[in-house]
Amino acid sequence: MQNQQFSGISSSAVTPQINYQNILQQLLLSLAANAQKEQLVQQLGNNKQIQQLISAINETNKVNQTSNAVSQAQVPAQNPLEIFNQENPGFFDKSARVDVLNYIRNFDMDKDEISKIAKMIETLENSAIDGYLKQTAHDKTLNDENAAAKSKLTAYAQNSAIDGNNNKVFTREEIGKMSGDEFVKNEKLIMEQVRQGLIK
Amino acid sequence: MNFLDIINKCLLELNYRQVNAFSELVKNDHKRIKTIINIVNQEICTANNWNFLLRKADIFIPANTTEIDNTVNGRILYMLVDGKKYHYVDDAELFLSGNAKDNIYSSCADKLLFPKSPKQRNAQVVYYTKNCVKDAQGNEKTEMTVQTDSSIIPAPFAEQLLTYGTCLRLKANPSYIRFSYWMSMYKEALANLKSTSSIDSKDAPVVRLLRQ
Repeated sequence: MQNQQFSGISSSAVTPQINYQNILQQLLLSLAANAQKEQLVQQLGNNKQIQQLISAINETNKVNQTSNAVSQAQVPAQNPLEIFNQENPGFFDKSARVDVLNYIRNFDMDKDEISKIAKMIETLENSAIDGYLKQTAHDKTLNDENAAAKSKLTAYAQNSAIDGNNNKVFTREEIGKMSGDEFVKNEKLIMEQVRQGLIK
Repeated sequence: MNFLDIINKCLLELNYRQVNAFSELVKNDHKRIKTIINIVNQEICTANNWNFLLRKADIFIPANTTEIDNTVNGRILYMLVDGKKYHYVDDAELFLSGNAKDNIYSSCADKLLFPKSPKQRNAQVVYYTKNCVKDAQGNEKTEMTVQTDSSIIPAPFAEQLLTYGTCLRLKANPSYIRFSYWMSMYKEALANLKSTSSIDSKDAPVVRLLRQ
């Protein structure tokens, strides 16, 4: 009868209370196997000191379990979002991130999942910045090319106007009266007319 | 075009304020311009054997005389003594020692040296004058000093040469915006002066174009 009881309790990973009892029972069984087995077991089972020891251990286990339950009840379980906010303060404060935060509140996510989403947000933002910078550089290049094309067109227009206005030849008097800026502006035409011997 | 006109042309090219009277030229830049105009004028005149510099002088050589004061104000081109052409030699010792041959002459210590002759002689000298300036009355001088002085360089070219030459010398900076223009105009005027100052057609400048 007692053997059936001991053999029915073979697992040691149930509760701490059963663990202690199991250990003692297995100890008793091993002692009984070596000596007088059932008689000795009965004697030991009837032994008041051992029974007191077992009951004391059981009492201690009960007290421990009660105190653990009380302590678990006193400390409330922390929200993963709050834990994430403590580790990354202000991460979801930015305007666009608030929408993501409001969305993920509807899901029961743990801290790791929130961290993955945070990384995804950062990756998306960085890629958006890179894209913007590339777009800006491209726009600048286009603007420069447009400006160069405009200046070429202007130069062509000016040259064609000069070519079409051959009668306009500067005199030395006119050139002498020119300011520095005016001379620079007309320098190409003046030097061309000098080469052609047109300036008198 | 007189000295004041040239100065005002330079002032115009240099974007300075022009003046109405010679007495207004009191600034340092004005003095520099006046000095440089004279330097450029002298350089142009002495750089070539210009025909417009040729002058003629007569020299009287007394009998038994080997040396006379050099009154020729310039570089001698021809020395004709009694119709015979004399050639210049550098060696003055021949004349000082009395061993000079006929038809040669030399100079030493501002004296003209000739072979000794018992007869008096007349020499005709053709020379390039050192006087590059003339005053209002046409008297030649070495430098322009007053408003009415003018260069001996022929009129169509003197103004252009002196104006641009002075601006080039005054600025002396090829990176200056008008430097290339001044240089081109100066060279053009110099080339034109060269081409028009030749009297003999065989002496006129020739441009040869070669095809490679």
